[in-house]
Amino acid sequence: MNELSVILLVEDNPDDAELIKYAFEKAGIQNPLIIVTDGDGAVEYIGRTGTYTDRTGHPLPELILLDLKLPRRTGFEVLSFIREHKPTKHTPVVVLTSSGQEEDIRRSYELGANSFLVKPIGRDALIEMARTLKAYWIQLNHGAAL
Amino acid sequence: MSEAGKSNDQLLRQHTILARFGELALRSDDLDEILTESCRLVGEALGTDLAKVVKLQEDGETLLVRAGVGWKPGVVGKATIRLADDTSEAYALKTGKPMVSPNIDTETRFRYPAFLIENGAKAVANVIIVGGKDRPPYGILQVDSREPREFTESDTAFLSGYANLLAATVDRFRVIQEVRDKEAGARRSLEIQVAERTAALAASNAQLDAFAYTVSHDLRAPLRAMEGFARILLDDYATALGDKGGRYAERIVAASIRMEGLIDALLAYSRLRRHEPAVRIVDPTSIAQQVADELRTSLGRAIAIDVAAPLPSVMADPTVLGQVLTNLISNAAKFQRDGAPLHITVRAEHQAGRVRIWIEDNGIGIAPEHQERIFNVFERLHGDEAYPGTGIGLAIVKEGVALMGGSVGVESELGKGSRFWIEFADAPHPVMPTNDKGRHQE
Repeated sequence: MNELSVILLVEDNPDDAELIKYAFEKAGIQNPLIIVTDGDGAVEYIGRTGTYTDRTGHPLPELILLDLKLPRRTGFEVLSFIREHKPTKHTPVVVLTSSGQEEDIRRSYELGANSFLVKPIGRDALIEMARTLKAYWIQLNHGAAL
Repeated sequence: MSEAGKSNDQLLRQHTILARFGELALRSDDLDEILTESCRLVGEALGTDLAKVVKLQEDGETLLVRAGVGWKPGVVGKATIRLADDTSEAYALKTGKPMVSPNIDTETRFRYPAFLIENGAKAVANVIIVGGKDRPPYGILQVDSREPREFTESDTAFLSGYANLLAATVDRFRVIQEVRDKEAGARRSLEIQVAERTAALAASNAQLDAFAYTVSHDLRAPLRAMEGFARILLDDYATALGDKGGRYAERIVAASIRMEGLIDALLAYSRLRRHEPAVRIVDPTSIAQQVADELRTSLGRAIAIDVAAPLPSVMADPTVLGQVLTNLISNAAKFQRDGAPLHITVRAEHQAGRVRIWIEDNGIGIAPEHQERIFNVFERLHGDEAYPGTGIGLAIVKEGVALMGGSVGVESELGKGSRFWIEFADAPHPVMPTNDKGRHQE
């Protein structure tokens, strides 16, 4: 993954999406951030169907940040789709959700999540998390070639 | 021996048998034993080794050989007799009078079942065993003989008396069984009730889970927005906000932080209430020291917390005990008195199988009239400005201690300080290894 790779954020709460965008800027993450606001949108983007049929302008993400509680299709369903869909089989998925319910954590890993983060309260904590995300997933980690 | 002598002899024997049977009926609580033994005894009284009790079945048309002596396998508990007009059994039941066939081979009035012939019965005397008040007869006592024989009037009179005694005994068992059945029925319905309540409770617990999830997920989301955007305003738009605007934004931040604490405490409380405690031997010393260290770190200053190590081991759940001590020690640290450097002591008393751990402070203290209610949820004595808090901490202490079978209390004097205590069963002493070489071979 490099500074040009696309990051897909699946987040239904516009406040959270805005704060994450802000934290990414503050953390110096330059990667294009694409935001989809529900599970169907995520599946359409990744599967390149619906409004995202055209490949140009909708490059496959190299990192996916996934909320679990989403309208229509849940995060778990999106996660299953990502793992079953050949092009994103190995794409790193970081679950980024509100609560660290044990059942959610267990199920996320079972479905193939690479990491599970609880959205922190506090802007500073969020910026710190964005910095760590950048350092690990963007700078250190080697993903499989798309 | 004369006829009279023989008859006297027989009377004596029959009386003795009646007495023995009466004794058995009083002593035994096993109906099978009583019925079988009644057949053996009646045979003994009448000089035969073949006798049985047949029981009238629910259908009112069948008799089952309920007990007996002298029969080949496959008769007792199995053989049945269908009541028909041409059976001696039907006659005995209908008339209630003893019915005798001195010789089955030459009997013309009645038909006899095949198993009777196969077992070599040649004569039979039937006497009814009556049922309880307003109940159908229990069945018939049948004394059989392998030889044709007469049954004298004295014999049938004895048999009737004997059968009545048997009837009384059998009815007593019926009554006992009815009571037992009723009790079992009541128990069953109680069990069903308990099962239903348990299911309802599980359902309400599941609802609580869902509620806790909603609290943690949905209530936090707007909170993140409040805190986040207010801070962004403070950092990036300070000039535009001005002093007053900045102070207001700070208030938004502070309020959202308080609410976060409230949500966390509520969640901890709800989790604790659903927690299945695993009580085991726990050393409170390290837990208390760890809590003290964490508190110093979070307060960012050195505070005097003396843990009088070692505290005696107690029977507790380490996680819950940690929560309880965290709340008590941070509570002690919070209510500091102006001009009195904070000093907290954690020490223990050990007596009569109990360990009482004291958490003492030199803070503001609690007036006597408030000491009871401080353990209630959301109960607060101070405004947020003076001593911020959620009103849940001490409720967690009370709930947690109760969960582990312990107790909690407070002694306090206003303006001097408070002494909270929690009490648990002490841990059983570990068995010390001895020097006895016979037992310890390495």
